[in-house]
Amino acid sequence: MTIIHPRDHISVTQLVLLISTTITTIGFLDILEIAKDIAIDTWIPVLFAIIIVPFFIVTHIKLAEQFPDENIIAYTPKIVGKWLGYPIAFFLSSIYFFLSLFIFQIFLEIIKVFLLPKTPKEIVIIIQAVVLLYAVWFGLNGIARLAELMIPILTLLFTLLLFLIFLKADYTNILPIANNGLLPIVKNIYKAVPLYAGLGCITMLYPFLNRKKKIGKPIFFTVIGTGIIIFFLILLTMLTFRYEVTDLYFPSISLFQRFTVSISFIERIVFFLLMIVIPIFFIFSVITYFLSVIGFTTIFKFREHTVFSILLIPAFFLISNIPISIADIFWLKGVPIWTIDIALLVPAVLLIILKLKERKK
Amino acid sequence: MFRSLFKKWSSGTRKRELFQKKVMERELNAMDELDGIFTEKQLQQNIQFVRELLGTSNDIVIHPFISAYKNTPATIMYIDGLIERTLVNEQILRPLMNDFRTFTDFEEKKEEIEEVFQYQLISMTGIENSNKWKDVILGLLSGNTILFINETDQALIISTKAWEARGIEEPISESTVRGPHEGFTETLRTNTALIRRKIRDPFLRFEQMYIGLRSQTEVVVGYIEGLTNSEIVQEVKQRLQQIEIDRINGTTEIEQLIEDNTYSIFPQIIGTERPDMVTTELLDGKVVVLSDNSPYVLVMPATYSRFQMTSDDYYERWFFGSFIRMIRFIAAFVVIAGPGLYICLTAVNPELLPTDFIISTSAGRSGVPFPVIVELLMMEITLELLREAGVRLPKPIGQAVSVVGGLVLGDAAITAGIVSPLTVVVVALTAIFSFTIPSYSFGIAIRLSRYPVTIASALFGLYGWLMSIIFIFIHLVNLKSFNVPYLSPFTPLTIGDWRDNFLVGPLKLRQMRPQYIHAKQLNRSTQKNILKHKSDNIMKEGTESDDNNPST
Repeated sequence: MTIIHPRDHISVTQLVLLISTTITTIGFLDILEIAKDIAIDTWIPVLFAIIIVPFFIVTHIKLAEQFPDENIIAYTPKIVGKWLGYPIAFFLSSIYFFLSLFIFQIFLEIIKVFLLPKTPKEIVIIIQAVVLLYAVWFGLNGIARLAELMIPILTLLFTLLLFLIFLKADYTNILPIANNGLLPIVKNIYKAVPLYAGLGCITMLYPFLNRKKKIGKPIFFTVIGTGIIIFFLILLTMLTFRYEVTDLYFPSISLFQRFTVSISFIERIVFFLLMIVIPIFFIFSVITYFLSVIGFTTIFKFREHTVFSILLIPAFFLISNIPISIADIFWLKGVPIWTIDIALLVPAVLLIILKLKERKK
Repeated sequence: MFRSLFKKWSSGTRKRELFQKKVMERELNAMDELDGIFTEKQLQQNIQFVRELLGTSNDIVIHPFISAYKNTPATIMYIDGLIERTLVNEQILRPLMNDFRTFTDFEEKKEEIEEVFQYQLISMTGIENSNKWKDVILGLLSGNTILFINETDQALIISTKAWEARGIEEPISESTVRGPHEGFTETLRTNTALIRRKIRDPFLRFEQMYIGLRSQTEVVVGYIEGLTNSEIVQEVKQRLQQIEIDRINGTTEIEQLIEDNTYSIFPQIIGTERPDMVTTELLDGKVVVLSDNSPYVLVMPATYSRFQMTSDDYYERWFFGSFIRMIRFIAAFVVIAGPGLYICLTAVNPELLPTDFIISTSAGRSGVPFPVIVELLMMEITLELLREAGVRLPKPIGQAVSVVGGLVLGDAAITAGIVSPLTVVVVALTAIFSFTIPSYSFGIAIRLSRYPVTIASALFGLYGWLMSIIFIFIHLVNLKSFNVPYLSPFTPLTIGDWRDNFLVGPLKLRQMRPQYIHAKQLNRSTQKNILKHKSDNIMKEGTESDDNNPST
């Protein structure tokens, strides 16, 4: 049974915004991983991912509806048994923890490259850890409200900036499409699917929802809508850089760096982009960290999430401090990207097992 | 039955003895100690008790006299300065000592003597009788006149309160252009009357209680029954009852004792001197707390946006009201974030600015020996000092000091090369923006918030600026006022409440009360709700009377 504090109830709108934040964040960073193999065709797997994503939405919601008062960590052992269930639960909780670390590592690099080149990394990590702990301490409701307050404004500003670039893009750069055939594109779809890693919020946070019916539509439209925005971001990045994209550390940010707008104060729009992406990345980090905290709290049957909120911070600090090459960051600190695909498939598998069990009965 | 009566009597006597011992040893520390002690039938014993308790203070007047009615010995007591002496002489003493008009009738009616005094002799309203020393002493200290009559254990508490008080004036901190120019005073009854004059609703309730173990300050909880969420009313009353402190000087101290988060710099309860604002809040479904000796009335629950509202927003046309309110919201953000952003863009991350802009700011700073953070903090603190000096000094001198100090110091600092002109512009703009915040306590919170943001920006540039702003946001989203989220209706989002929040919608569209307060009646305009509440009450009373009726 998931322990739900009365203060932790969230609305569907808030859940939807949390998911939207995760899509936007990963969308900013996933591009390089896909572009490694297929360069200018990167946008095609992203488009395929948008087509596939309803399947994940449906499976996540259907499974969550079977156990309205519990999260996936609590009911996985009930479905597949303790011996298999707890490792899966542990795997899912860890994935969120590493996702939080992964984004934070990129966050650190962005700060180092663009803002504070001489500041020791440890100081930035400490600041981040303190603010993150403060955000997580008050529980889910605070995080959801933070997202509700900031994400709509940030998304609006981001879409506006994207629109400015959209007007200046050279669309002939999209050609030739699928020059190396369709096989490399299909092979890379699995790298685009992790864009929707945030769908895990559905199975993790379903018990916290104050209204549990008719959540499908808002989730579907938000996920598809955000997916389309990210698709345009990736498309515009590919149109701008073409084959150069693999030489860049942060193609999406470089995209904004390349463009200037001739209105005196906002001449360098990368400045505004940083003001948008830093809070988005931070909220992503908080969401995924909280999901892992909830996961571990449920596994070890603690009453309050605050214990694991503190316990995971040293691990967060230490792992963030491990020196790593920028090229390896996209491997989630040694955890391959396909693990996220597996994490997204877990609810579908659990649902099938559950249905088979019910049929046997 | 006799045993229980004896027990009651003996326990009361024992309590009284203990109490007298405490009085003699000066160990008494609270009015609550008087609980369970009753007045005696013997007049002299009662006088003795009061003398022992109140000591030899020369403002306590104890006046024994012989009543014309059956030559009964009696005594009146009052605190000089807290009562209207003419009232006591003309309406209490005169009828009791000289007027013999109808005395012969009383014997036939065989009424209790105190009832004769209360209902037939003293020609005044507001008379209560009690045999509890707590009521008597509290009444005496509150400015009532106490009448003890021989051979009766009931004391009459006669309302003769009257003292020198400030008249109704326009509040200094909340002046208005087109609204009423009246404000609350330090007298509780005047304040409740100011509210009653504006709301002639039979369901308006003022519930009294005393707070402060020694000060016994009279506090009133106001709300509209059937409209205000009863959970909030209960919560307010409960928090007030839990206060354990020796004295309360006014509502500002109560505010600190009942707010949700004591360690937040943001106020979570509104304090206003304007009766029209309190009326609006009561009709929105909020609870108010009034206290004797304080012109500030507390309104709860409070939200961030409520602190940005003034009564003038409603007296002007809605276009202007909306415009000015939007400006206030932006101003609050600029006050918090402006100086920090200036520092991070000029000192830490100048590469984020356009080249021309960097050149012009650098030229302005040439020759300034201090880092931007030092000059900015120097100017900010000087401005705070000027503001404080302006408040503390007499009004005409204070204004002169503020203006002259600001102008002369700013100009001299630039000429001397201590600060750059742009820094002075930023500090001055921030100060002007901060003046637009209507609530004094909220303005202080906003002004204080900018210091951590400024320091974080100086240390870590844009990153520090963003993280400190996010930190403040996290704090605000988790803040609550009587279980209502502080950032309502922005988060949790209730679009309907935006008609009177960030914007002021036309009056015709503002028919719904704010949803986040969870008032019992959402619609302002319909009479159905009021009638429903009335019929519910009648039904309830009917059911209760049926329950009490043995025949049913």
